[in-house]
Amino acid sequence: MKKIVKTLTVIILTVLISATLCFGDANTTFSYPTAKLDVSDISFYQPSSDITPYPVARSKKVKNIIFCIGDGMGLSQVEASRLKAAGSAGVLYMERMPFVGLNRTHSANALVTDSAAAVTALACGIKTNNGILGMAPDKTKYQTILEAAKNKGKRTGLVATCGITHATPAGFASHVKSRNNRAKIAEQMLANKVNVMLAGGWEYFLPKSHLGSKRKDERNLIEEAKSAGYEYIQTPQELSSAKSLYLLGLFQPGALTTNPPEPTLAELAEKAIEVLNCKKKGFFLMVEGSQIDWACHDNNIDNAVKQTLLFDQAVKVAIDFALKDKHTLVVVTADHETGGLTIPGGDLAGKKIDTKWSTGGHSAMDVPIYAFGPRAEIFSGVYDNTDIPKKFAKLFGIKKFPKQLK
Amino acid sequence: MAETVIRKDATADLKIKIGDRIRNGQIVSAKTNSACEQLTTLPISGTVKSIRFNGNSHEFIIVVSDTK
Repeated sequence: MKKIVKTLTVIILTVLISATLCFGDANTTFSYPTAKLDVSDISFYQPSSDITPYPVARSKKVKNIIFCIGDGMGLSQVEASRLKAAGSAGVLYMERMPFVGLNRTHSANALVTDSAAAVTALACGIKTNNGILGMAPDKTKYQTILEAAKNKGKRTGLVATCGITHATPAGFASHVKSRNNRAKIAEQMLANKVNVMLAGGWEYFLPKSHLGSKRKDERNLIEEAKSAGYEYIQTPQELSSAKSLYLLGLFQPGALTTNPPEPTLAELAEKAIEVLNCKKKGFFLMVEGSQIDWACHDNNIDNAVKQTLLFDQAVKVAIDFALKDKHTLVVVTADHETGGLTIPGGDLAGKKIDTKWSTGGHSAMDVPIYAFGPRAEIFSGVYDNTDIPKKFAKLFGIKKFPKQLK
Repeated sequence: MAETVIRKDATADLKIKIGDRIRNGQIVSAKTNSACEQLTTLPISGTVKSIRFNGNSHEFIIVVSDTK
């Protein structure tokens, strides 16, 4: 009898909590059913039938930049994904980009970087200490390439599969001493008026009194965003019908599930490009495959492959747009490698690959860069991660970069 | 048996694993020199019951049970 009462109580509580999350405040939160799919199922991914490199662009004019970051994606993650999805003779879409380089990832105070210091290098062009976003080690704030592009009149966007206030997307539009100050990051990102922000993470945008909120105050940043002109979206239907030039799409508390019915990273990137491409002056868009890192912290090769392939689908969307547009540069890289992954054996068809992980943390290994589009050739070679946004700045005609903020 | 949850930034690998008997003050991982990382040594003694990675906070969540 006790067991029945206990079971009924659990069922009632679950229904009540679900109902509150789904319908408690229909204007601000929406919860997807959580689909637990087999992470080794990569049937969603269609490998390229053409393995030849994409053509070298004739144009030298860079109007738009799409910067794709695979968090934790080293060469072995790319190779494992290629072997699993396309076999040893196949290629990922990112591997068809004609120019390839390597970048060094150390931070100002550690050989092994974290995502905060790494994104500060990739966004601001400066080295900083692990844990810091958008500031030098002495806490001087530096302009990000997104902010500099915006000052040039370009539209800007951030798309990720983590919460929007997680280190990598946050590093392009906020400046804080600690990456853990997520509530403040949310405020700064909104104040920065990034045109498109599509990810998870509504818990830092809702007031403390709202169920699931992680704020310590009663600010409702979603209502503030709406007042500032943003269209707030939470469902695939809202995503496809959204028309505004300012989009805030927070599809989950925390990270995206990366499972249906949620929009895929590729669909989010496609929508972002559609919105940002409205203006003649061009745009800067960052697209992050956030959960490659997470799978590698778990030393879970199946999920690492799945997340890398989801990222590669988004890269394909960027390339397809760039092929048509002719003035869009697409650059793919990682902030660091995670897991110290190697592939000591396997078969040529990729049906079986042996993997070996040397750490549950990040590693200091160089990470690959793939580039396609006008001036992509300048991304060949081996250089520091801080050089990447400096190259972007030159291509956008931004005169002073890196630049301290007052 | 009392359990304590320890949260540790996941940038550096842990120097402990499930089943280890750990001591207060034992080094938990290599230094990451992070501006937001406080924990470098274990604050308690006991046995490591579970370790799980939390992507949202980018932390290892370590559960230690009291061995008394």
